Formats: sequence, C-alpha cells, structure tokens
Amino acid sequence: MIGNDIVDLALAAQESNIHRRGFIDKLFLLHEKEMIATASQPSVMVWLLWSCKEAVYKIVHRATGERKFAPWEFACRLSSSYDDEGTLPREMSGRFMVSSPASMSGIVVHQEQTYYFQSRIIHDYIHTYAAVSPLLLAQMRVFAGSYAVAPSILPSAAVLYKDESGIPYILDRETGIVTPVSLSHHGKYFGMANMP
Amino acid sequence: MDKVAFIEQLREIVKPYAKNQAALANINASTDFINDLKINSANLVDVVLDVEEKYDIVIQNEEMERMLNVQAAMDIVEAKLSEK
Repeated sequence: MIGNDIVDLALAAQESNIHRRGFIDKLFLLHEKEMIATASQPSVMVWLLWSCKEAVYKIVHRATGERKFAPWEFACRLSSSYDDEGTLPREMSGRFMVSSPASMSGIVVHQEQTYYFQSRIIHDYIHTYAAVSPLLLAQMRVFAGSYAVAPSILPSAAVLYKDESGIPYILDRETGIVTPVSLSHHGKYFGMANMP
Repeated sequence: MDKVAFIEQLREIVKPYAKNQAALANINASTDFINDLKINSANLVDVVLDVEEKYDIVIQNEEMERMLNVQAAMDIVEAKLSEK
C-alpha cells in the first residue's frame, strides 16, 4: 500500500500558527518535538514530520477504512541527515527558498508496523511518499509539482475515481485495469503516487 | 446543552478554517469537518484547541481522535462539561 502528502509551505505558514500553545504538543511525540526544537528551520521540520504522518495515515486509512485524528500514533524517524548545509530552505520575506532540492528518508512506525518514506523539499513545498516496504517505495511512480499541470499528468485513457470510502483509484479505460493511487493537493501544489 | 446554541458556537470556531462556505452555512450535527467543511487536516488541531479554550476544557488524545464531525465535538464537550 502507498500514500503521499504535499505541503505548500507558504500556504501552511498562512493557515497554521505552529507557535500557538498546544499546537506542537497535540501533533508531535517527544522525540519529534526535540527534532523540531533543534532544527535550523523548525517550521520546515514541523511540516516535514506532518507530511510523513499524513502520507502514512493515507496508507493505514486505505487498508482499514477507519478515519481517526490520531497523529501521536505515527512515530517518525529520519534516517538521512536533514540539516545538511546548503540544502535547507531559507525563509526570505515570507517565501521559502531552497538552493538545491533537499531529500530525506526514514521510517514511520504505526501500531508496530514500520512504513518507509522518502521526502523532498523542492523550492517552497514538501512532498512525502510512503510505502510498507523499501522495495515498494523504490517501485512507486511519483509526481509532485504545480497543481495547474495536474490534469495533464495521467495518460489519456486513465480515469480517476473514488470508492464509497473516498479512496482513490486509477481506471485504465482501455485495459480495464484498476490500480490504487494516492492524491494530495495543497495550495499551489499537487502530489501523486501510484504503483507502476 | 442547547444543541442549536452549541452548533452556532461551533460555526464561529470553524469559520476561519472552513473552505466550503455553503457547508458552513448549512452546518448541522452530521457535518464532517474534513469531508463537508473541507477543513485542512492540519487545522483540525486548531479546532480542538479553540474548543478547549472556548469551553475551558482539556480534550484527551482518545477524544481528539474521533472529533471529526459536529456531533462528536458536541458529545465530547457535553461529557467534559458534565464532569466539571
């Protein structure tokens, strides 16, 4: 199973006040709060961790059909270095800029099941995609970019549809084959992950 | 608790986060915060914090995880207020 999540950092900064009392405490675990507190850009770390939890929530929701707002059930750990010099987005007059794309990977543990994720911070957005195994993660077809181009990225024979639980699939009208897809939209950006 | 009054108070709380104004105008007990009001999932925590502040209560994790619609919010607040 697969999941993905995209965060438009400029919109996130408008929509959420991460400094309000209780915000960090309700969403993050102790070790995650330490990661946020020690990050050179705490706000970017907040949204990176949040996108990991969301991407894995989508996998769990797809598997169980159960809706829950329980971010503390998703424990994130980064395995690759996040604070590599020169790759971090810098906040410049309200805009996040990144000189070169930063890439992170790691795991999210949910109810004793380990999920693997890959995150990329490109310009002013974070895209995270996740799967139940490293192999599946490597095989996934992933797209992230401007929401404006979203309608053009699927093959012409493909149709998106959602089942009664709101879980999305791609139907290939020519072959009749149905494949699971994970969709994410936030502000100017759109993310998608599906199986090859 | 007066249900109509509670829904009115909740409407004011969710107003800044709701992206579907038509659903906000028609808010009722079965309104879902995400599916109907199109509240960003990251803003659900703001709804929880605003409800805590408004009613001077502390919402536990087990309660927060099911606070996805108006009815659930009402049940949680009602239970908390009756404990006071």
